[in-house]
Amino acid sequence: MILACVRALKIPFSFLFLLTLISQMGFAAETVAVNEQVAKKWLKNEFNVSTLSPEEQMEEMRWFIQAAKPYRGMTIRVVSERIDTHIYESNIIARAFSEITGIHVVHELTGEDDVIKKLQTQIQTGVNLYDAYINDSDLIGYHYRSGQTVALSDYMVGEGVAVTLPTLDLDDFIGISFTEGPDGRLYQLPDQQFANLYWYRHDWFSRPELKKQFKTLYGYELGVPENWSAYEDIAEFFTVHVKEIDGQRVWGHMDYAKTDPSLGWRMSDAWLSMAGAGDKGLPNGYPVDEWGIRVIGCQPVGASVKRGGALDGPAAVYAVTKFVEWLDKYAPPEAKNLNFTEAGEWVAKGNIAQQVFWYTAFTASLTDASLPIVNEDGTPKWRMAPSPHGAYWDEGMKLGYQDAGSWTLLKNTPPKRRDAAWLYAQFAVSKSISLKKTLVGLTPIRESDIMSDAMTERAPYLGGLVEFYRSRGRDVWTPTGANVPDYTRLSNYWWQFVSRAIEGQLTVAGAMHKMAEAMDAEMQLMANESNLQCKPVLNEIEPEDVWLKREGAPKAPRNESPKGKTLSYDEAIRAWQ
Amino acid sequence: MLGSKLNSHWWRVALVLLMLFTSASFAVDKPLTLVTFIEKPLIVQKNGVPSGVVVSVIKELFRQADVTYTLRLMPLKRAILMTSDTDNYCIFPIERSQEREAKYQWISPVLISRHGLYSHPDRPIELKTLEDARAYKLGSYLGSGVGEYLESFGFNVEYAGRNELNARKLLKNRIDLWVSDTESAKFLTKHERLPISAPELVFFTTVRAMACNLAVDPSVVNKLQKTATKMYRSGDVERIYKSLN
Repeated sequence: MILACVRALKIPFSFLFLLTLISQMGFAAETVAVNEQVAKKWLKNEFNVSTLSPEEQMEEMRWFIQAAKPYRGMTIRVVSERIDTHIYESNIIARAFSEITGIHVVHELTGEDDVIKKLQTQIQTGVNLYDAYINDSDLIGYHYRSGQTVALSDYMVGEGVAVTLPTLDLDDFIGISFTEGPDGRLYQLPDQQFANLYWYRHDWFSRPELKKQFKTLYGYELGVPENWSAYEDIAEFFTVHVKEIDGQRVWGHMDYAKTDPSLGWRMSDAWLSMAGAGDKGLPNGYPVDEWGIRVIGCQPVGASVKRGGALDGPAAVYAVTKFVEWLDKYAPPEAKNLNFTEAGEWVAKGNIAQQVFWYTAFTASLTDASLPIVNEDGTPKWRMAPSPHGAYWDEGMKLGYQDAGSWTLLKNTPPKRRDAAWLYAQFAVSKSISLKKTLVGLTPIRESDIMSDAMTERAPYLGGLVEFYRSRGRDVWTPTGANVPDYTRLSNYWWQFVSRAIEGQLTVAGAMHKMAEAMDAEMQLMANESNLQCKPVLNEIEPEDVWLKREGAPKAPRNESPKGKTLSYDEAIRAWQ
Repeated sequence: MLGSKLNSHWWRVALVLLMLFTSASFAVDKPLTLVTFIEKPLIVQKNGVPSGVVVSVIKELFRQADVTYTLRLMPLKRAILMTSDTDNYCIFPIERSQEREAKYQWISPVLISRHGLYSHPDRPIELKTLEDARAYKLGSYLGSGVGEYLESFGFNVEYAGRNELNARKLLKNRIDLWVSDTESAKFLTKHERLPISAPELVFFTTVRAMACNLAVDPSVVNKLQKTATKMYRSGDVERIYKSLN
């Protein structure tokens, strides 16, 4: 019909094309103007705190609006674990991004183990489950070996250059070293970070009568434990000797041990590093890391002591023995049947004196003024401090775990969907958004946010979180590293074997030996079946005592009960500076 | 005396060997009992036996893995309990989740599902994110991992005996939003001519799997897992699922 009119009116095609173009341009200009109005609303009402000026924020928003044009109308799917930061992204940031760019985002939340299983499923089956994953950087060893993950450092200057935010500023990300492979390429972009630190009731530790009683019993000051002996003494002190404070039963230790994937994280999130099982080196021990896996170059050669690993060595057995012993002697009886999430709620009840293994991801949930662990003025009665270390720990080793949930793109995601998801990923970590996100979820990723006035103002209410992230501590608490060739395949062993020791089916030493053998066998399977680069090549078996006599990990038995040492809170914090 | 001791000893050895042989052959030969539940159109009952695309995938999986089995239908909740409590039982397809991980051995995926929220045709509810559904009463069914998932986030979830009952409840205004996997919802609305249109929001993806009792021989589970992965890569699974349409 149009063609007939054109012919009848003798309108040249070029003129018609021009008219169409002008009309489309008008429509497009109108859409952009509407989107800019929407962006202004979001910046004013929600993202009203930023290290950028409002004008700079608006510039970033304009860039997103323009870059998103080819993808407008699409629906993309991403998935992450369910912590406060990601809940904020799922509910607020995804909505803002959708309204500003016209790309609809479904940001799913699920357990961390599910995220990993889904990522594994997409890789194995080729089915496009999600367009992007927020996946812990613990999988970096797999990402760089597998060839299945987009190397972001290549993508950003290659096929993704048009959708890469010019003001992304990678140097501003404090955890960027965690997401680089040994090949120097960037495989993931940090979205949130939290550490695993020591947590304690500063108000109870400051009570003169308790300080006096502790010194009388143990011969040194009640304070932040520097080593596990002191932690154990303090645990015993509150559970066995103090027992009640202000009429309430109190406990000197809290933990969890339900047979569940989260029991595995309790171990693989660097518990053995705190005991001192691995070698020196940051972000991970080299050649033996905190999983007890030895590498030669980039190739894993074994987890068992007989192959040069440390997973069943004296330090590892000591680590798990103390975990079980403290749980039995000093934790509330319920602790054994709790998982990670359930146990996380306990310290807020106000009956726990200290916790050796506490994720700072729970900080936001412990700042509610209605809680018994918060003062009337909103400041906390608790503090976080450097984790105490075990008898095998030496200076120069990592001292705990840091989680770096990071944006991960898979190669088998259709390119257009991947590009749109990458826009959302960058939106969620952009300087326009990240400070507000940090203040809500308290899982900082940018140096600029950490050093901001807004964080300085919040610091007194966060029990040491800001001090930690402004210190070198943030480089000493690190994620799982590249020695672990396939996190998904190996991580199940942690909860499957440690649970047997907890339930008394095996001795701790027996469970660790069996786990080390299972990990060796799994790595051998990887070597036989997979196309991983830098794949495992197991060492020949040698007598254990030969390895234990050599320098470094696996380490020979040491005195596991040195005298307890404590520091004042100020001294402990200074150790981070 | 010595001879009699030797005789007695050899009898014992023979007895132990016989027992070992019997139990080994029993373990190898005893077919797995697979239990499943009606979930139209993925799993239906035809001439008294389970049928449907998911059943076809499972039959092909066991054929390729050369593992023997028997197949039974029962209500989902009972099927889950039976599998937890009985050696040699496996159930499919249930959501594989962190909460369930340690209770079973898994072969996954056997089905990947997207789950949506459906509104009454006269009362559309605009949902941009899942959070927008918080104010409403959601209808799920007993044993649904997705229902439990929503409940864990504090959503108001009401359970029916089966998925299809929720479509009726929605139309009678007894729930505000029907929670269903999109394939089942598409089938039910089409075949029962229900005036329910596209989902307001497709909010969650599940990897559904076959879960086996912890006592099932791990080597059999391993063999089935390898075969399942191979079937996805070869396109066998996709071919079977395409037959649904």
